[in-house]
Amino acid sequence: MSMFTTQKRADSASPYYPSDSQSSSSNTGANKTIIARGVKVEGDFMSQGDVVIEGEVHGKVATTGTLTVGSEAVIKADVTADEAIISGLVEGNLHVKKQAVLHASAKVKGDLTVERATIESGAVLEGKVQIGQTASASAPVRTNHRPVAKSVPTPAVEMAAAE
Amino acid sequence: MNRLYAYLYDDFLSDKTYERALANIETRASVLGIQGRVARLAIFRSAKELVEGLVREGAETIVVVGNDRTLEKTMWFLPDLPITVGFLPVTEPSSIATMLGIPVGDTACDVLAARRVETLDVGKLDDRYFLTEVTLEATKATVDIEGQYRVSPDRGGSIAIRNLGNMNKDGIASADARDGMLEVVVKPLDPDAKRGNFLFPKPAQHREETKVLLKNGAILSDEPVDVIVDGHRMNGFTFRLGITPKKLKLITGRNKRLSPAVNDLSKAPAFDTFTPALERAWSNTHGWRNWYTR
Repeated sequence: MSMFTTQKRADSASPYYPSDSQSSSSNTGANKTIIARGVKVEGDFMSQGDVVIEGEVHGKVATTGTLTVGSEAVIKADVTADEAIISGLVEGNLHVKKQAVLHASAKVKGDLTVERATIESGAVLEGKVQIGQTASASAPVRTNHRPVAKSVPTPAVEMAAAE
Repeated sequence: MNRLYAYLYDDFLSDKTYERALANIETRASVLGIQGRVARLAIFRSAKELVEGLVREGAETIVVVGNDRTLEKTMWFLPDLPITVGFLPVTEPSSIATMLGIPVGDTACDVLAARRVETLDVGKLDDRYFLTEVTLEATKATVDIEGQYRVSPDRGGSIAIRNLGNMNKDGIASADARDGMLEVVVKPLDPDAKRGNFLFPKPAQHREETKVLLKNGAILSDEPVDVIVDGHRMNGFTFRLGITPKKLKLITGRNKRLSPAVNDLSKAPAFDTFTPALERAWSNTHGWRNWYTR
């Protein structure tokens, strides 16, 4: 019995060819990558386009597009994205270049660096929040301090005056 | 007879059912001036040697006559030959023919005669070429993408690595064999789905699919897995994946279902550029023993 079953499976038409409904869910965006529920990704996940994560990701996530994290998604990774819409769990630092939206079901355990943020009531955020800075974040922050340091003559003058 | 054309008939076409269809095809080909020598595939005859013989005799266009399976079972060696490939579907399944805009039956001769040649990418699984896809059913295998990250169904599922196929709602193949990429689709099994009962069993239900693209990668598994590549079954622990851009010259129809605009793929790396990172990734998890058991 099992032999016939195997044979049939090998010879039957592939389930992947037909123009059935299987593919419809993932073909909505030309350049969109979807990590569906029940799928695990491990490693440095980098993408050029929009990314939708409904499954589990361990490692790093970086995209130049919009990152959408579904309500059942689990991300244990540092995340870098142009925009982010979070509904699930993110354990790691979140660097978003433009805008981040944390829906009510979102849970972020890590630092959030973002230019603009919308945080719905009910969202959980455990970590430092830096709003108004770009995600390339830390670097510009430091460079902003340097011009201040250049105005060293002022304190020097003050010190001289004090003496 | 046109010496530049040769026709490769699948063995199932020797059945009397197809006599009339073949006669119509030969007549139409004759009218269009593209009739050529005919060779027939058979169980104990090497298809590769048969085609190489035809090429030595001067054939520059090899027309594969049969169905999707016929094209698939010749695809592992055709890309390496200095030929243009034609496809003449006589019967179902003809999904590939549909994607390539080739009608079933003698009207396909008009497409052959028009000679709209498209240069397509071919995928590679280890050293075997494939045109359409590699599939793994009910597996817990992992797909390594560019040596950077790994994708796997959490509790098992099916995996397909496609070069050409998967028509979407608009009837366009989402895996376009001209984009220099392979499309990896992982469909995890849905453990919550109802499986029916003894009398009315339901097939395993899949969740929404995961889709990522790759140029180089690998299928990795701790247990030996069955991999079906263009209908041919292979078994092993580890398989290299790659793509060879613009490798196959194929005659397509005007109504082909490939994406109208595809990026230039000349930058896509050859299969040989298997990244050191990928090799490291293999050896870290599986050790080199599996390399030798490929």
